[in-house]
Amino acid sequence: MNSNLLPELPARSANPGRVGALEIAGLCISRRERRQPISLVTDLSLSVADGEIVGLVGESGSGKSLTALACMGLLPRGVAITAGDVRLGGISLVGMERKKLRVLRGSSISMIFQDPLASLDPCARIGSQMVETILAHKDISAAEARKDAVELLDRAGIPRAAERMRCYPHEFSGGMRQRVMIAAALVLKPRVLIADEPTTALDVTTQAGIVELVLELRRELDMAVIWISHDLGLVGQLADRVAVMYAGEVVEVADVQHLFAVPRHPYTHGLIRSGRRGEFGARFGFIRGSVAEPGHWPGGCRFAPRCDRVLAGCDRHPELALLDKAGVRCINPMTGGSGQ
Amino acid sequence: MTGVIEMEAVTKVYRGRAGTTAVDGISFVVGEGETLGIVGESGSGKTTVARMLLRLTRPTSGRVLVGGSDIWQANRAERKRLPRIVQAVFQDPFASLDPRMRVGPCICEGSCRVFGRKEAAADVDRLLDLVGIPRRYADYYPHELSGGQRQRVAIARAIAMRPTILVADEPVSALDVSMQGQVLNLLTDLRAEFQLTCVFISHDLGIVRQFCERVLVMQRGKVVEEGDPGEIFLAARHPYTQSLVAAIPRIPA
Amino acid sequence: MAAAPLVTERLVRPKERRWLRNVAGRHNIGWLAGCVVLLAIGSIGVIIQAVPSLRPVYLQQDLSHTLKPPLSPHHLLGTDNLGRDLAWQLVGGLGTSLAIGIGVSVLSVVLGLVIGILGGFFGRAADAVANVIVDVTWAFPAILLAVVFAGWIGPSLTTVILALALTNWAGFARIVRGEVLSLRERDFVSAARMLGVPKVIISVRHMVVNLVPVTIVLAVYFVATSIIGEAGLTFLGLGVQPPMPSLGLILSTGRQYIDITWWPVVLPGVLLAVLVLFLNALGDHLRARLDPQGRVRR
Repeated sequence: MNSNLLPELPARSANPGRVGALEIAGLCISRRERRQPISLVTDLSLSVADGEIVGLVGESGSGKSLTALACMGLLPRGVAITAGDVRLGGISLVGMERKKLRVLRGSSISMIFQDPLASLDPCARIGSQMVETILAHKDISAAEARKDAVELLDRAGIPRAAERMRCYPHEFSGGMRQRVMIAAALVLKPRVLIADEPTTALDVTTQAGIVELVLELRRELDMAVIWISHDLGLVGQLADRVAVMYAGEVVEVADVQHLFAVPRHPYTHGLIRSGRRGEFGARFGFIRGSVAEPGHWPGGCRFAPRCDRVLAGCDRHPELALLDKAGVRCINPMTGGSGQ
Repeated sequence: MTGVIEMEAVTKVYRGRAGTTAVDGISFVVGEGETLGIVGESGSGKTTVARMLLRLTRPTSGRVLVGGSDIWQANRAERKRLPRIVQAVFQDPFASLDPRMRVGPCICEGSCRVFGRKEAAADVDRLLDLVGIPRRYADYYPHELSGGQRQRVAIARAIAMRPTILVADEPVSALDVSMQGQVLNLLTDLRAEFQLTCVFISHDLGIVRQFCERVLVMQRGKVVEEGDPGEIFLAARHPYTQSLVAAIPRIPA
Repeated sequence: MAAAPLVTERLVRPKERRWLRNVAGRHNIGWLAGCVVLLAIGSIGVIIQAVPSLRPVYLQQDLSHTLKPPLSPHHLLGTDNLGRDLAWQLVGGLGTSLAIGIGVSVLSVVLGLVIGILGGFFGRAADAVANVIVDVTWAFPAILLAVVFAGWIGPSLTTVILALALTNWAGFARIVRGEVLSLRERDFVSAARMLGVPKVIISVRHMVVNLVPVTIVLAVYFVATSIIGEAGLTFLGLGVQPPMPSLGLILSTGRQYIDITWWPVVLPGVLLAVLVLFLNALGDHLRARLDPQGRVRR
């Protein structure tokens, strides 16, 4: 079977031992709901090094998007970080005053979203939006800022970039709009990029192009990237390390090859099995039950109600033991090979 | 060859300044008990094809035949019989269930009119069992169920009419990956139990390969390739299909 | 053969009577109290007009005690130019206003729903006809219609209600049509059509039911606008006639004596303002709770 995934995948530049560009430590996010706060993310720890791509995989209710918003300081009203820290190049972002955060946003840490129309002002030409962003952060002339913007648009694969600076967002097709958003997000060459499902709404053919673009830019700018997705297959192609989230916490972190070769957490295993497609007539893999909603998480292991490997000790909440940037939150992890 | 479903040179053109051609002269045949997959990306026209088959969108030209008769030229009596022949499952489980209607009445909404209120209501319990939902959920509202459960309610509602043809328009695209399999297996089992003829529409060639015996690949309103999904997966002939197959991210085995 | 029985589905079933708690919740108490008070006073106002033995309360003329100021003995808010107790006149007028307001609102809503759904859901021909009717009505000022009716059947309560309702429904019909146009594309409507449910039943079971929040919000606004409408028409002499009490009437007769006494003008004016303010605020509050997407544009 043809397993050639993407054409000409550039070499990955994972470089262990470097300082974490973005470090999340024990992050807890909750939502205020009438009387009691509801936990949405608990005890999340993750670090991303310069030039590394970490894939954050999870389904609905896992809290992956909230984690991204928390790193950017963009949590919606009523939702707040209640514990833990987010450190960008060593500087703590939690509790930083909004003015300073605004300076960092865009220049050191940037984000791209699933829906480019939501993050680009529909009433402003893209050129002026990008120039405005640049001028807010760099002390250069408007002409130089414009040059930077055109350069990045060109690099993002927009043909006739200089002309298209004067276009409005709706004048681009879906894939092109996404490229524009990437260009706008990277125009200040941030150290960290968070990508929240940027290709989910795109056609499969356009998706490959966007993935390739992000990989190339990552290499050129030596950016740390967190790529959030529900699609394990996609993440498997572009990430160096993968963190799997379920019900507000990380349940497994591993090197991408290890994760797919030997998935240790039963949820990871179930996800991989559910995503696999076979011949006609084969049964589809799935995980029984449905995701527990925030506020209704069981006391012990949150995956226990859906797990086939439940033991008596699973009614106590398991810890995530990180060894060499890998770990699994389970007292009865799978040990690999077929069947077990 | 007479099949259960036949589409003859069906075209749909939307009026407007540009005059978009959503579907351009599509013809295909689905035999009895066969499962046909229609694969395409957004703008390919696959959903429009489904809607024309379900008598929701009128074709600009061409004929849509079900069981040999043109459903768009049907008289009133034939039109009334149609819901007992063709039923559908739509993509968004939340949108396809009225948020202000409880599950039980929702399932028998159509069958009540056909089989009589009492029998249809009794059938609801049997249907809930069939799709794997606890019976007490008949009193719940859709927003109290998970996405996978809602989709199964939608399937129960379709099966309540005892159709012979089932059209599924992206039935699992809006669901979490870990729950897609439940719904897909359910559809597989129901297909076997009721000997349904299925038309399965999706953008996911992998699912179509596993569920369908034959597939049509659509691009911009036209069929660009047709055949056995397994073969197409390995050796697609049309360049568009090839790019579709190549671009699918696959789980490393 | 079906999917294996599921272990965890929703662990907690949201409570049944939540809607009751929502309505009577702590932050709603104020609104609820206001509505109760309003309806109570209004009902009294209607009762004193309906029951013959109670009518003297506001009809009793006392020509030796005309235009007494507020806080006079026996008359808390004073008397009008014919010696009638102003307080009871105001209560009666409030009853009239509310009755007219609710009457017009209900009529507008029903008419608007029917025409709006007919136009939006029953095909292009019906839509064309409905649009013509709506456009013509939309352009018609209520006052003109009131003048016509006043000339035809004479000014009265009926004239006011008809004139206001027959012009008010058009705006609502437009909004309903817009909502129906988007509702009919929703999958559950397609599914209902597929299941063979006739369009009329779909209209009631699916469309109207989903239009209830929008309808409630607008119905409350309509009560407010028709109260002002009635006061205006009556002030001009086209509406309610004496002896039926009306805030507009009190205002118009009081106008003649404004250099001597202020209360026959100010008191009904203030009452009208407070009433309409309350209704508008209630409408806004309902809109925030029932229609958070802001589909209703005033």
